[in-house]
Amino acid sequence: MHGPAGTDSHWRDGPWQKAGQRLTAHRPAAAGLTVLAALMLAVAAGLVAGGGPVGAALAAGHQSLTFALFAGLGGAALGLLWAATAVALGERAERAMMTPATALTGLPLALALPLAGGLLGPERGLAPMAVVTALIAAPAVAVVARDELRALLRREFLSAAQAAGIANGRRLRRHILPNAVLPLAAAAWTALPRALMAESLASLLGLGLPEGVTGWGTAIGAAARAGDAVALAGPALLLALTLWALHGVGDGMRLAFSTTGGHR
Amino acid sequence: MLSLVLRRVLAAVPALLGLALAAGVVAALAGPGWAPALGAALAALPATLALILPALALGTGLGALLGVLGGSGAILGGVGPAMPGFLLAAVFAVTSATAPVLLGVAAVALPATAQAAVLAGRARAGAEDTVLLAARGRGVDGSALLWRLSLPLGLSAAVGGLRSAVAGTVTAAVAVESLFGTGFSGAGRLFVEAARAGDASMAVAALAGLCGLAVLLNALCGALHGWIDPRARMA
Repeated sequence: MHGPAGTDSHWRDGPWQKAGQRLTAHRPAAAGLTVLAALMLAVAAGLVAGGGPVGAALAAGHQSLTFALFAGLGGAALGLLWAATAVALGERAERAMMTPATALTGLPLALALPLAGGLLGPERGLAPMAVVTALIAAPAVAVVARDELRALLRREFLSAAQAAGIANGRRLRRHILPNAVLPLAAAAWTALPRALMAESLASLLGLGLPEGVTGWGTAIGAAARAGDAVALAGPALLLALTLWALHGVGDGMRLAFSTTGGHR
Repeated sequence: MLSLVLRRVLAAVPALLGLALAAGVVAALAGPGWAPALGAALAALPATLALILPALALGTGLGALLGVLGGSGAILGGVGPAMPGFLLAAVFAVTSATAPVLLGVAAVALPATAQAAVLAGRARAGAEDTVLLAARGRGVDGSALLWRLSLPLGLSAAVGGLRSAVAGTVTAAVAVESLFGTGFSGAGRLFVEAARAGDASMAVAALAGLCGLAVLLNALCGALHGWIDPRARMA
């Protein structure tokens, strides 16, 4: 399968290359990645050029996307830690830790961000809001990540490795971690659209990003209250496009990398 | 059916009591007047429920039908992630002078419709090579195939996925109540106004009420799923 040393066939057939091919074979994921790349370039161009309603909408995207990225990464890290700890601590601890996570996913958790925004007042900082957003995104990531880890631990090659007497540490390093990276990345990705939606909802209600920081939600809320359809169109369209792209990539990642079968 | 509903609702009672207790403790810590705040939040819940319930029912039914029919259902399911309820509420709020109630319900219902269409479409595709193929082989015509086999399958899948739709619908209802003026004045509006005013006891009480509503709706959706699909009764 691999070519002789010194050729580039290793890269063509490598696991990362194959993972990329599996991801881009899913059409919405490929379209989502293209849209996200185009949006990043457009937002950067909007920051440099500025001016006009389109420039303002693109510049607002910089604030929203930066906040969603940091809060989403925090939520993903928290969710993965939650799931990994639950699985590592054994069945009883797993049940005790994952039951609240599953229950929380059925609640309108996004409303916790406007609540925090209101209670922290107009002088609220970005950091506490990002922490609350991360906490909102974490339970969903934890539930998906736990399912992925459980499915992975049931795989036959791990039973074979155990039967062959391979030590736990080596089994973790050589077999579990390399196979868990991509499914867990797919689970972690779900935090990004959640963080963006929570921030946009809170900002739309006037309780999200602090005063002076204008995100898409802030612009949409102001335009909706003023009844200004023209001012609303730009940020609403960009937010919708970003959410669609994030979901498309997330669906593609689940289909390409999931050990549980993809659909959830 | 009644015993199934009772079982599901009783299973949700500990969660509801926990929410009420947490809200009471936080509201009491936030200052005096927590009892009236809880009362006002509970009194405002029926108005929110009146917005959510028809939107969920309409969205799920219509979404399941469109999903099993394919075509427009697939398109709706495809663009679904791009239209969260709060964004639709903002877009419709700009034009709400014409029919605010209809547009408000539409903003809450459309995301649920899109999700139902996706789930129903997947259920139909999954049954294409088994149940539906066998029925076609026995000479069942297209109309009977749709109403007696495809739609129940799609409806079961759509109702089974209502758990995540409920949370999104409650969030959308808050945005609708906040943006559509006095036409909608339920717990969502109360929550946003209290949060803006920094009134912790009222905001926490209203949020607890909305979470309790979501728990109750989830329990009822579970019961409905069990009634439609006997396989779900085992869960």
